[in-house]
Amino acid sequence: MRKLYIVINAVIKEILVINNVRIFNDVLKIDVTQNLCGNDNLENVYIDIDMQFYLNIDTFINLIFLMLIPIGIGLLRPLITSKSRLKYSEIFREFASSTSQRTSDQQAIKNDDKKEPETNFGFKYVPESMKEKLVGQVFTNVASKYDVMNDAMSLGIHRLWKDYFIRTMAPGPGTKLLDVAGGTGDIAMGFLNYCKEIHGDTSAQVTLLDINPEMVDVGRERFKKTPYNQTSQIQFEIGNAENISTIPSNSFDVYTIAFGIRNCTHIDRVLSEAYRVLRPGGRFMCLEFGKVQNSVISSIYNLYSFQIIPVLGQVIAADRDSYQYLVESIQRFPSQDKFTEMIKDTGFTVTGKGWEDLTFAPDTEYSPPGRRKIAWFDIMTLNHHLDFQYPKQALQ
Amino acid sequence: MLSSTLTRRVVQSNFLISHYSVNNLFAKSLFSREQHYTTNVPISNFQKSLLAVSSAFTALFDPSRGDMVATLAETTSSIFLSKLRDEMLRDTKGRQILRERPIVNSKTIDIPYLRTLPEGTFGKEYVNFLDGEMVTPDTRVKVKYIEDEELAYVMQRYRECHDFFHTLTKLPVSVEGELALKWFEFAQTKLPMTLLSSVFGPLRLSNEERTRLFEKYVPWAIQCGSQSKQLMNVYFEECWNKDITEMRKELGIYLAK
Repeated sequence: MRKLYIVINAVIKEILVINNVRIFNDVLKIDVTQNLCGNDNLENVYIDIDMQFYLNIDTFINLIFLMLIPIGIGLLRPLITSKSRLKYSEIFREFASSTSQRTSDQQAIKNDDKKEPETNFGFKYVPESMKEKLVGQVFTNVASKYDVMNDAMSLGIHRLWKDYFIRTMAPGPGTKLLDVAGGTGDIAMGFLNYCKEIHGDTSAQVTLLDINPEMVDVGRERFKKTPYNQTSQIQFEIGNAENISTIPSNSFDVYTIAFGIRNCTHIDRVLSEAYRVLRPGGRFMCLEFGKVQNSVISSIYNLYSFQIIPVLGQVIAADRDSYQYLVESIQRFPSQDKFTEMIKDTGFTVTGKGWEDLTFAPDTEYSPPGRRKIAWFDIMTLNHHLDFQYPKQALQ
Repeated sequence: MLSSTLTRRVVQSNFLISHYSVNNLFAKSLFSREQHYTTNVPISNFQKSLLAVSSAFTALFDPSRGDMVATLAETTSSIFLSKLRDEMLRDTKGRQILRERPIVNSKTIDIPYLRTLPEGTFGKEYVNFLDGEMVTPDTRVKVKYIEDEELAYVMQRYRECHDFFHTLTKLPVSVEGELALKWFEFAQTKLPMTLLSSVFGPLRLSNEERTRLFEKYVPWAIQCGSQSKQLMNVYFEECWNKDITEMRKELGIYLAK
């Protein structure tokens, strides 16, 4: 890195010399003598004491580049640091929170013999019973600006992910969907629209389940403006995904949880409930933020998550801490492989790889037939959607 | 992926080892810094600059976002706040304020007692202002983005004294009155946020309000503000019983005609 800096410095000064900008500088003196004279002995050659700028258009352009290069390097520095440093920062990322992680860690050491187990709330550690309450507060605070913030943070791309998710679900007529952590109802709405537009079907049903009443209220308001209002097609329920007591077993065809499972305290309990509630041959689908494979893109993504998203939260929703929690919880969620393992352990059968990266996908050597139609998502991935199903025969 | 306890252990030891040996800009600029005081939210300079720009636009387009104005003040103050603190240090009362760090909220100020004071005293005028405009001294946003805790206190004091300035200058809590007071505060404190609000705030006014502002209030604000005593050096909590006209004379404040 330092060498790169030195080289670029030398190049800049060469450009300056070529354009007759003379600056008194020890380093420049040596560089220039080497360049012009090609002779190492001429150490006493003096260039100039005063700064003289010949302001022609070339100097001007070069000065602009001169200013841009350090700025560019400053911005790109995290990307061109050596791999070991990036690995370092992977561990460090655990601490990239604006709250005092050190003090909470020290407290964690002291409270080791405490009876209540701790779970992660973003990068902090909190007692398990607290996490549900804290997440509840987060979503109560952001409920009114949730959709606006989604559009702002993902630049509208979240709509593409959700549309793709529903197209992959490809629900047939009369499908019963349980949309857990449905919140403001993006997936439920998309599902009903899909059935109506593709199949002309109005017998599809969706039950929107969420733990937070404010989010469900926002969802209800949204549905009031649609033709599904007051029909049996949409039902709203308040409930905890870890213990859906109001829903009988084996009663749904598809279970979806979009951007919700990372907020749950016990992911394994959520998966067991999903297993119970789905009928044999039913499908569990999860849309979630996964790990980015490419390290360069991962650095850009981290920069974006930790620097820009909290600022957006502060400015648009007047709530920085909720969005800080959001980006930290994304970092905390297990990787695609690990999550697949957890799903298999619950008893689901996983067909194929089990997941698909949507934005920032790693480049594949070959593309299997049938993937061509989704080639436009293969460019980069950020999310992946997990699609686990029973053997296909059961569906037909 | 490690279990949570194991992760915590590994991560702790790595943190202890590497916290003292990491020098790269990436870590320093992006990762957690120490909290200097309770409400401090340490963020990177990149984030601060982003916040400064976005809060400026948000405050302009949505004036009800008082927190955005506060954020703008904190992110743009830097050296100007230091200058203000130095000015406070040059005065005896200013030094006392910085030493004792009095806080103004409804718990530290005995508002019922102030109501019992005779008319014409500073305390009584202040309470009349609070009751008349139906505001409380509790609505001030806490300082978050200033690293130095003394400067954070100066910013906090500046915010809390805003109501005292209203009392002394007898300006109402309307958009016009607030803007006039912002010009006054600019002349006094020279913070960039006051300048920005003063220049861009009037864009939201109607034409006649704007002409009135610039013909009557702004000249008064600049003249009065620049030649009066530095109000940040006034220990307002000791002045409840003082006669307000006498106080104005002492400070060199005259009312806008």
